[in-house]
Amino acid sequence: MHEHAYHKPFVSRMFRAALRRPTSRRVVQAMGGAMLKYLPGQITCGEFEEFLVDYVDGRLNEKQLKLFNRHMANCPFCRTSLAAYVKAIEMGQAVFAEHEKDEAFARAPQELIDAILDVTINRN
Amino acid sequence: MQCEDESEFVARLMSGNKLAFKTLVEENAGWMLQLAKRYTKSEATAADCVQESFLLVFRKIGDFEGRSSLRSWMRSIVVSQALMKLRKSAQSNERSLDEFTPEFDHNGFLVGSVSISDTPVEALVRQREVSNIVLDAIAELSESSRAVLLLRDIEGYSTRETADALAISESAVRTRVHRGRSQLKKRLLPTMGPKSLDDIL
Repeated sequence: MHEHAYHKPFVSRMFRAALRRPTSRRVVQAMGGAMLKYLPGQITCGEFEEFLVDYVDGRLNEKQLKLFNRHMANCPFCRTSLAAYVKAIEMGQAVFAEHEKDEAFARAPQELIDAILDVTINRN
Repeated sequence: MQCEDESEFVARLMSGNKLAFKTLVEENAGWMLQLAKRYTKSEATAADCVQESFLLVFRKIGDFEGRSSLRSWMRSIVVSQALMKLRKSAQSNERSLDEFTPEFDHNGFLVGSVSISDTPVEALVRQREVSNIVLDAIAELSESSRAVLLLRDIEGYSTRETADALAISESAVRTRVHRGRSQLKKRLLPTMGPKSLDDIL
């Protein structure tokens, strides 16, 4: 899996303070959204989301990776959302790895074993 | 099974030794059934899969070259049989991607935020409740998304290999794996624990 580089966000003190207040968060988000939509060299949260699968696979090209990392550095919400996305994948893998250990010694119902033996060795 | 033991065992299978094949069935049908059930969900279909897989193993054991372990070879047979069943049933109950992906405003800015703690994955999955959420979330996916997620994230197939196995485009694989992961993330978020925005900023 791709090695993730989590950058410290580059946000001003005022921006950070405003984000901490739920009442003004929506306004700041709207401003941030407009900024990301119209400023060159920026992608929106929606575009960031579209890059996720290729980012996790390490398949973004240099230009895409630069845009992705720039957005991640500036958007705390997407940064956390990405961390949760990666953590969910890892949790899924860990749960299945645990189950594999238990299932290794699972026994199939005798009827199924008999049916398999019937259509294989007993018939040949 | 040890390497040397395994090659001896395979040699016995290749020579048509019935006792060896009986041992193979008795020792492996259990995990193969569990593996097939991940894809088919139905116990009966999974049992058919296992039966057909053993028929293939019985017929094709002469082709087994030992490049992987016998178990890995049988695993790939079960997975491909399960995928064949899925293609035949072609049950399409796709849920909208929007249901699981985050919401964006008219500027494309993420609406709402998620928060997670630094609790290690190993500690989280030790909780039975978390383990059940993962299994439920994957079971709730449509058959096509579930198959893609299992192949990509659990079996370790690449996007190309998954596309080939399911006879779909790479772009469809990317869409479906994203849908599956997004649903898993949404369901697991409450277990990841809160982390204040101050820690994130």
